[in-house]
Amino acid sequence: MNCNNARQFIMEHLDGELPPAATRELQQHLAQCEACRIEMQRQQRLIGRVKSLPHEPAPEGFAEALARAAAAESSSASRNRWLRRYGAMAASIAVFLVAGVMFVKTQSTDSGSCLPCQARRQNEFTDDAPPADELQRELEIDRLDSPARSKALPNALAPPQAAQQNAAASDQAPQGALAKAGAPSEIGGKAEAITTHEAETDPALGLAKAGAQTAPLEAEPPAATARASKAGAIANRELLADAAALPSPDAIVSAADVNAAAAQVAEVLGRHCVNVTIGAGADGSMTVIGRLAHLQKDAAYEKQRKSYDDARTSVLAELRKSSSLTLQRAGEYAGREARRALPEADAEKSKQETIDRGLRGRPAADPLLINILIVPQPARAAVPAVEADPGAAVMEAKPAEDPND
Amino acid sequence: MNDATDEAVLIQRCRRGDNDAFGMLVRRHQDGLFNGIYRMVGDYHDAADIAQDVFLKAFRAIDSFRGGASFYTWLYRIAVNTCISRRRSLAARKANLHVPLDTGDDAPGCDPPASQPGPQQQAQSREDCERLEQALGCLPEDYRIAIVLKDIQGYKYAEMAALLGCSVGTVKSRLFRARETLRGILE
Repeated sequence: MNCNNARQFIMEHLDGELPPAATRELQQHLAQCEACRIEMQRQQRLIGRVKSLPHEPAPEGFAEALARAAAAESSSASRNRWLRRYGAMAASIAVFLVAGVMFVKTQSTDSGSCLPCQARRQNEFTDDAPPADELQRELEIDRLDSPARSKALPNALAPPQAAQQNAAASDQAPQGALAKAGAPSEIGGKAEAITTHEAETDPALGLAKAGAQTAPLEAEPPAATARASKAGAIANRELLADAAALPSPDAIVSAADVNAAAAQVAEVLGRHCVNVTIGAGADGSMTVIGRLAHLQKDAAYEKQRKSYDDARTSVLAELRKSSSLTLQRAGEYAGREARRALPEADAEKSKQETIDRGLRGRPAADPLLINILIVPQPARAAVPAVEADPGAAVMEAKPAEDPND
Repeated sequence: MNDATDEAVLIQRCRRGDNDAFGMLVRRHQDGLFNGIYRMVGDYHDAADIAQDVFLKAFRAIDSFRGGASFYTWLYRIAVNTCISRRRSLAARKANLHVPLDTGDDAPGCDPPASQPGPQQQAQSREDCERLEQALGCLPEDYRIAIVLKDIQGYKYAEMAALLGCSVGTVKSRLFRARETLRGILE
């Protein structure tokens, strides 16, 4: 052991976290090195000083003031119970808070440069992620893990009477997608189940599992949900077919790798936005360790995103003034209201149609967004459901195990 | 009923909207949390403000607490994040927070005097603590948080890593550099 190593070992020893073998090694070194003995005394003195700083208790009346603030929130919440109900519905839909960026279909293919999306998301790969996002990230993690959410997904599967709409919608899907999806009779609710089955048995699925999901509003006709379901099935098949071309999860070691993978998926599927969620876990449990989005920006995207953001911010500000919905639920509710408001905000009729389809949960045949869940663990391990998104279909998945159970 | 069970019951009640249960959780953790926040931000009123914010955030998001870590650690994680974001927003307003240190005589440290300190010793001790608080305030934010988590809150390296979302190696090297820097400021 040299003196440089010893200084680090001294710190760990003083913190009570140096393993016994290293402690013996350190003691041998200290016996021979006076400089390091002095160094240890200096470190010890400093730690002692910090530890002896006086303990500052909370101010007098802190709990009482806080209780009053919480009670005010609660009573406000009771006045807005209907909001809570809508929020709960929205929660079951599990709309991404960033849903607003996902609705514009790629208008051209010449802008294929890989934009690493928002820096905020990239920062989640670093030690020092923006703190303002942390709570939200925890909420998102919780939503990803939630068995309740996974259970909610099958509700949006296609009802049988929607077969006609399924066939019509399939005409709009990319040719390659249809070829991969198989005969039209497989499309719809059944195809969803098939895809899911493959997802759980195909070794390639250790890599990626993709799907997209509509937001089935309560007044939405079943046919729209059916179309969404079918579209998701196609998207899943497309991605699965191309999964072999993507980097192996073991090889994904950096944000750049993930972004490149997302760009590849976007190119293959012709999607505007690809969300990538990277997790780690075992036995179906899931902890999100990073999240990125690949996004192709163009003028139409920028314009519609701004409209969406403005509407969402406005609704969210009102909600936070007057209700005690959780941030997650308030965000979802605000997103939904913003989506409702958006068609009026956009002057161009053709764009309105896109928005109406994309944001009201009445999706076009091909989804605008794909979410990918990458779980760097043995390929055959079960992975929980993908994120829920507007503009596509639902993929049934095993409920994630709750690590708290 | 032990403390953990008791706390789980309080959390359940809190989820059902029981404000009394929330009050009990607050009283249980307010002092530890406030002290940690105070040491991170260095300002008593800011600390009170942030502590209130943290508890209200926790109250609103109680449904998302899953019990993987202790409730206090979950609270503390919210606190760390809130402190960081709050400090960034206050950075411009409090540009003079990092005042130059009075690097006077060697300080004997903040260790409590053995017994019945005289007025002079008490004054010296108070002055030492003030110097140390100032020095902590001069540290980069991640260094200060590392020191507070370890030496004031008593977390282990692994717990700090989970709380800060980084590796144990990062925690160790950050803590080592933090103490080196602090010592450099004080000496």
